Amino acid sequence: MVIRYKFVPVLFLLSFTLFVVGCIDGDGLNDLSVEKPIGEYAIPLVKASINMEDLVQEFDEYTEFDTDSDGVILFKYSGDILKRTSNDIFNSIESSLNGIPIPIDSNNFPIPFTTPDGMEIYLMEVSEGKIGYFFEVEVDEPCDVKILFPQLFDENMESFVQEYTLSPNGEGKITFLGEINLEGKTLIADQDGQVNLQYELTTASGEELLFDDFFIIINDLKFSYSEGVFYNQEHVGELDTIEIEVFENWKGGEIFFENPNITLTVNNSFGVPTRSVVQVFDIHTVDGQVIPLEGEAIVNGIDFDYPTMDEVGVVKSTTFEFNKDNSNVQDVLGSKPLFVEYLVDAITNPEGNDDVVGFIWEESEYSVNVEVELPIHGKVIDFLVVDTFELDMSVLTEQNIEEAMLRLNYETGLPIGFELQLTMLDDSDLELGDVFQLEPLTIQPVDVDSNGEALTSERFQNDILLDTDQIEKLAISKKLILMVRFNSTMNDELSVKVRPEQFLDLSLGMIIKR
Amino acid sequence: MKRSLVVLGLMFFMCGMKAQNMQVLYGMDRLYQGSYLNPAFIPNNRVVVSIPSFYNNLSINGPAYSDVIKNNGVEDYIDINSLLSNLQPTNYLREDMEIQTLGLCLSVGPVGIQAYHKVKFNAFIAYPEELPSLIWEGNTQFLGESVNIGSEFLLHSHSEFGLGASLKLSGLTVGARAKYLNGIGHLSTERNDLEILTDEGDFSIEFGSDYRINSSNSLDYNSLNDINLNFSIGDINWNELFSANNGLSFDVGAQLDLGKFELSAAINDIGYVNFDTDVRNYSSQGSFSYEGLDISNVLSGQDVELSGIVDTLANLLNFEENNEGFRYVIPSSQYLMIKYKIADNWDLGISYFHESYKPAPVNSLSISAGAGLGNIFRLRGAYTVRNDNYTNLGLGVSAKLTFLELFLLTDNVLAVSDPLGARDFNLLAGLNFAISRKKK
Repeated sequence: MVIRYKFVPVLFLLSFTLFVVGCIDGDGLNDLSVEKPIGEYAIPLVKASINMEDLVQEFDEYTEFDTDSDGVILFKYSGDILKRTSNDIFNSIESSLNGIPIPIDSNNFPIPFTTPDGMEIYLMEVSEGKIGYFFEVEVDEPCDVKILFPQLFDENMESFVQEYTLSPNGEGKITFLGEINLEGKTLIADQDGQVNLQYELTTASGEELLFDDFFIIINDLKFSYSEGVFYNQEHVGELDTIEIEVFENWKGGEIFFENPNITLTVNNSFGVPTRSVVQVFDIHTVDGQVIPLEGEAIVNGIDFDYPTMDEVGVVKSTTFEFNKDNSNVQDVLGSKPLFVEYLVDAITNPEGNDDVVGFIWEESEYSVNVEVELPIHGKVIDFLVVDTFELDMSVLTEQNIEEAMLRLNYETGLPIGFELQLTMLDDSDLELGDVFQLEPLTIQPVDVDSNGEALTSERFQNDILLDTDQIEKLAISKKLILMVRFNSTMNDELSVKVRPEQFLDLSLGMIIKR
Repeated sequence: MKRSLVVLGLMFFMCGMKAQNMQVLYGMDRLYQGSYLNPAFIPNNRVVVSIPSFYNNLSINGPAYSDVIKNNGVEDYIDINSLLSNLQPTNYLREDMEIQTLGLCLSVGPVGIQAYHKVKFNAFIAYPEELPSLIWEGNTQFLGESVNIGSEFLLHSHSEFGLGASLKLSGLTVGARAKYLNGIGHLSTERNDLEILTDEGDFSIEFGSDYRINSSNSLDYNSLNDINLNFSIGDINWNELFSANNGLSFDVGAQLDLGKFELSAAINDIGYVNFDTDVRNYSSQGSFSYEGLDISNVLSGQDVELSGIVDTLANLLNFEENNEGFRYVIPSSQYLMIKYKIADNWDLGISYFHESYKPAPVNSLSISAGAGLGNIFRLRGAYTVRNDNYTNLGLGVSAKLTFLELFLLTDNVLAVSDPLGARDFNLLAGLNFAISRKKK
């Protein structure tokens, strides 16, 4: 049984309505308009607390963060690492020897142990490969045949010898097709740098003869180690670019870096003297200029360290830094670089010295890496970046906001400040004006000493008024152009240093009238 | 005018025959309903049967309806400026309602016996003037200043079975009543401190709270934007009338006849209800601040979840829920009255009423006069000062037509002319079946 006291909820509603009117927005009483005072509401919008270390760690995907020896933050941009392995070198040697028939026209025949592209090999450890040979002689009695490779040693360092006793066929000839397995064998050239193929052909009656025809052919040759003289040989690199993201959104102004540098690092385990040959090293600027990097090392090349004959397996590292003392790097990196384009080849035995014996082993490789380092010790002068983003602020209309005041509080330890301005665009990309009409939102840089070191942190407070007109324009805006202009302390007079521990704490609040 | 009539009509029909806080009724001690205010009061008839009836009391100390809903000649509108200008330091709104299903009183010689059943409902909300001011005028006026906006509220309902007796000993009559209470639903603040501080520098907002809400069969709170209130007093299912929420309360009273003078006193509602069914307690204690959306991660290239701000705000007070049963102590009340008999059917009286209703205890002082017009009509007029309200002119009329007894009482007859502006208004009207009049 359910009793419905129909007036009871009505009474309750009546009573409660009076309270609702007293403490809840008039929108609850849908049918009645509301006359209310203009309220002023202070609300915190955003806050941030960040130091430079955090900031630059996530700068973008291409920029690495580090500190230099002075503890100053530096941006580091790296190119792709160019690598050359022993396969690249061996392949050229192997392909120059493989598959070429060599006629043997004497019983002590020196096989050429140089490659067409310039390597005189003294020692070669063969991982796989074969030498096929064919000989023929007209003779009417059986013969003893002895094939000798005095410079081809097995793993016991015994020279290769192969002996046969062969009888002539019905045509009165001895023909033979044989094969020498080279796997695991070592070729060591004689004092004249030669590898000789010898043979002895003796008839049953004791007469010594020569073959009418004798050919050898080398197949599937692969080295695991090779020693010799590497002649002047150029190894071609690859064209690469390094994007300098700092300047991606640049629209104006200057950044002068006190000590920028470009570092070329080569790690090399080839036992071969090698030198860089810079084919291209250009800096492309945001205003379309292409400025070549200049310096003695560009012209003369950089000699790479290499392991000596008793350092097989050792990787030698060579680092060369293009700095303001040995190149025009300060000028070119101060000219708003957008990207660096480079192509660095390598030349072996650059002096053409026949006395320098080098080696390659199967795991030899060299890698070339180029890094651009921009230590943030410098001057920032009206450096302007611009970006555009979409937004929908129609909520301002819905909230009937008549006037607003933004309050920016911040404490900064940065010697670089910035001014932020937002320009409103409507849905036709027509400019509606700036959000901050009187002055942009400003973060002041702190004072620095004569070395450019930031002094103590400072607190600031800015109040920025947004009037009805600006709020109305903001409400219909569909895009905002963000313009941020950076300036260092005493911008064009003194270089400042940016360190990881320098910080910026800020909070942005707003008072709205509605 | 139409709206005034509707409101007045609602008040009239919803007010009924029982009252706990009615100065005029207390002076009409021979009316059966007077015995609810003092169990020593015995009706003039040996048998009285009271049929289902209602009682209502509405009390406001802040803005009244007419202070908020205005008319500009074309349409009604909500006038927030008027609401704000009529605020008191602490504003309360109180609503009491009783539904009596059946009442019975028998008098045999010096002994009177009474039994009845009622359903009671109480609603109370108290809020500081800063709360609506904060909502409509904003917090800028309070920058750097801690503002208490903690509001107290109560929604309570129970079923009451009363059994009382009185005994007349010469000029002294004493009475007592025991009541079994069965809780239907409850929602109240046990603690209600909530302070808000807006920093004048960065406008960060800090809440300091010490809130505890006890509820039974009424509230499901998940966050500030996810609250389910289930307190439907309109639907009472008899099958669910007896819950496990049990309670007791007592009333005691006395009346002393000294010839020309008559003294009476009563203490009512000394008792409690223990709530144990579907209990939820919500507590928030400590400081919670909001300093704006943290965009540190944005500056360092990471993402910030905007939903985080909603969660932060919604959970700002960080209510913790548990399920501990609780006891609701019924606010007790006391009556005291002295009457002077001028003539047989004429008397003057002065009465005092106090109710320990936190945080708005009620103190009323009345002077009244009663008169009998023949054997049919009895009249009583009263002027009452009720807390800070000095404009309460009350009037009660009863008419006895054979066994039918009609009555109409109010402590504030002026509210009839301006129901929308009334801050205190109660009304009692109804009828009894009363037979076998006692001989004097």
